[in-house]
Amino acid sequence: MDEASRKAHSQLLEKIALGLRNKRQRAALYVGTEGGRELVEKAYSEVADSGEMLVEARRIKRDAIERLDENLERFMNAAKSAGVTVHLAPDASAAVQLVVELARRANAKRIVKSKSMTGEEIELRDRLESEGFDVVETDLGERIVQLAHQRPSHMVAPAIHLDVEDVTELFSRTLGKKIPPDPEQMTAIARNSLRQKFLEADMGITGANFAVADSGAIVLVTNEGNARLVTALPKTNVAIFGMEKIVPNLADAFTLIQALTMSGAGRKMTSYVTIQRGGSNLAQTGQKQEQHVIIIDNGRSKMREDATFRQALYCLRCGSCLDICPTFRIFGGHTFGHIYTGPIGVPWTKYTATLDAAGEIAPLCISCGLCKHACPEDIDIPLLIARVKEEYTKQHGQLSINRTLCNYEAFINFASMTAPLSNFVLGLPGFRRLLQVLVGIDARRPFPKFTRRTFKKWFAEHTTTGTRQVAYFVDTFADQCETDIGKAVVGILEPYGCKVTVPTQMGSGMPAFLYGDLKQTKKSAEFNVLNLAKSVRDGCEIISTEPTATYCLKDLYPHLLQSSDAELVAAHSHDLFEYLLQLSKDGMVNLGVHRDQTEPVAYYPPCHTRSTYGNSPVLEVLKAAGVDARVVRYNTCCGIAGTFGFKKGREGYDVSMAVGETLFERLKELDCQLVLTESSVCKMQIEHGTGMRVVHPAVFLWELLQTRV
Amino acid sequence: MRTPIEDWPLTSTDSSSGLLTRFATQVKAVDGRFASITHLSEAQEYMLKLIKSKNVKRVVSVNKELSSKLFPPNSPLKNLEITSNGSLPREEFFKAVQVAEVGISTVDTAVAETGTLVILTSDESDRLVTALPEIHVAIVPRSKIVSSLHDVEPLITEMLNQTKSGATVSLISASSRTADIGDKTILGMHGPKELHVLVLDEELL
Repeated sequence: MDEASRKAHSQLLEKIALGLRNKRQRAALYVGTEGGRELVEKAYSEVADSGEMLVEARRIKRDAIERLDENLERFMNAAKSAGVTVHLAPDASAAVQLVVELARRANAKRIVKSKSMTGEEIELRDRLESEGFDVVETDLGERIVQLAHQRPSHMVAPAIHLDVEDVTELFSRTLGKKIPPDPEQMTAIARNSLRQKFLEADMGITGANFAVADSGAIVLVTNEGNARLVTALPKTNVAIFGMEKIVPNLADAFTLIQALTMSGAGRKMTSYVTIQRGGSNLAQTGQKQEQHVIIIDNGRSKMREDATFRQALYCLRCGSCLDICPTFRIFGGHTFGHIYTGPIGVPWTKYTATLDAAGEIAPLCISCGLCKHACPEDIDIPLLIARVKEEYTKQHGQLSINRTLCNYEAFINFASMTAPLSNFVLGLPGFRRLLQVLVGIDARRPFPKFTRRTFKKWFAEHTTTGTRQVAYFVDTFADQCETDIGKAVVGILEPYGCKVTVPTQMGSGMPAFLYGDLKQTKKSAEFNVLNLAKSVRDGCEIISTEPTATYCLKDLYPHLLQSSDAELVAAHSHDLFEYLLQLSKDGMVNLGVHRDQTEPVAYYPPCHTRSTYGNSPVLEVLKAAGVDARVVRYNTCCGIAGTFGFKKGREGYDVSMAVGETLFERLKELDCQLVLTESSVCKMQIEHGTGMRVVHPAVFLWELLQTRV
Repeated sequence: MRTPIEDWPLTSTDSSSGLLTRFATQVKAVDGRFASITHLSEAQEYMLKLIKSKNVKRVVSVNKELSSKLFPPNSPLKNLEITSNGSLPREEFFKAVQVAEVGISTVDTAVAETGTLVILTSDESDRLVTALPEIHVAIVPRSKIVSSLHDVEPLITEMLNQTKSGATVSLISASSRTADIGDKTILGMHGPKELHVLVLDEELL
């Protein structure tokens, strides 16, 4: 790692330390992100055809970006015919310069702005202020961060990181008198003060949620209604937006508005959608408003040219990936962000700012995959961030601890080969301290127990018959640590006529992905796909008991390799429980009729299960089997994220335990003796965080089946 | 005892109409007030109650015809100042919109699925009637309610393209709101705190 990136990394660690200690900010972020997430999930569960709407929303954006040049030209012509002056800005400084000139020409003193991430991207407010203009943000959250001399922490809720007390202090300081800590009164104060600013403004600046090619209209979506006043009162209007915002027609815009409001606010519709085509007559004078649009590129063409990064242009700016992100929820956008914040902020930072700025925040992504699952446009954000990590480490080098962890398989092989001695040594406090100091593995993080008698060795001596061919992708943990899982797989499947085989394989490669070593991940992917594709051609279905492995097989490998074999493997890969469900639906398996299960069990669906399947197949099987499984209400990751939670202190362990805090509390509240979860690392995290016993659902089910009456 | 405005009943013909019920449900789901009206006297009574209960002093309306129907000459509201667009010099109407507590507008169409009012304007005086006062009363002709947003899309595109120069279509689906302080939802951030939707038979208008 070079000097510059070492310095940037230590600054990030410093911010992480501050963020972890900032209990009030963490509480505010928790309230905002958790509340946001719950509203969104409720909205999607209530709207019957939301699935079809999302499919359509994805088609529209892909198509709009594909035909961007054509759409851009049509928009420009249509806007011009409505009397709008259209400007193109290749980069941020050109865009700012255009606005400055327009403001000077309009002889503007005061400028009112509605919230715009594109405005933030080009740092428009700062630049206008430094030119002497009085710029007033009118979205309440944005106004708050303006008064606090901060940047927005969240693209939908700019002041999400501040609590009522913070805002009260800020308002009191600004107004020079004591304000009661009451959101309602403060909102009223802001209404009155901003109303005056609107009336006195000479120029209004907005972004655009969408721009409509066939009518030349811009679409502004708000709940506060500030964009209505920004566009209605001043005599000159400027809309600044990125070229990716153009859609062919209003019908498409409506579908995207629905996706945006459902995912951004958990509502069927926002309070206001303003569709503005050209300037109207001013209420004050009856004169026509002067209307300008500035369409900016600023890295977007480059983004579009890259086959992988192009998908970042599908972003609707709903903020879903922020609300669900385990580390964003702890630190917010001032730590996890440059100007664009949170997961989608990383690829956007690479193109609109610099690779370095993106690479410096990228370590906060722990590859849980939840943002991909939450994204209405199905953008593979974890893959884009891994690409940023890869490019950044190629330029600046890798942290030595990350290099070590990319090679975790060698370590596990060695530990397994030398077990039980390895377990004894790894249990020695002195050795753990040494490991912490020399390697960077946190001494507080317990290791799993390794075994010399691996599952594969056991299986080699096992004979199996059956007509249904099942190839088991074991992955590392079930092979070298907890061999009961694999034995349970064989035990469960064989009575149903399955002939289990264990094809040649290596670990999934996910740990290398986490640190941006895509070369190594690809190597694992190619090796596994080559062997598993053979199994599929021989008539096998592939099953896995590790959600991360299933995620890799079904999702990551095809994205990474873009090969027909990877697609073939993906189509035939299943989580064990999804496979069982399928067999039971086909009438091949009877999961019911079990001894009364009196003891309730807690169930935690791991991130990669949620990311792959949405609803967990494990839960469905448990229910079918008559188990009283109580799902823990929890919207984010448990925090361990593979090897991340093993890294010492702020580098991993401290963050991982902070992320998991709520999960630990809620699991304890469920009042169960036993926790089920299918991820090996989630198991380690939950055992460590709660002291509860955690079992793989396959092991639990196998025991249950054996006691069947 | 007075019926609270919020509980204004749907008449029997209304409940048989699925579209209207869906529209009403959606408006009410986001704190909107809804009334379906078959006689002009009901609309006048609704306005009377609203004006009295909120102690309203000034009302602005997008046109004189509308306000004269809702506030007949024999109205008991003697001290209510009613200003209609077009009946005053522009600057004076603009001042009236700034100080009015209630703004009354018509709509071009409405969408049941999302509880949305669709309003085309090409003069900001009209748009500001729906944006500046704390209470917005929208008069919706019964025949103008359609099922989904996609149903009105061709109409909106046509409306926009027909205007030679500039126009704005406002989709209003709820009152103005924010949750930017402490994640607590507060109504009336910039625009109306209250949205009243009055569905009327067309011949009454």
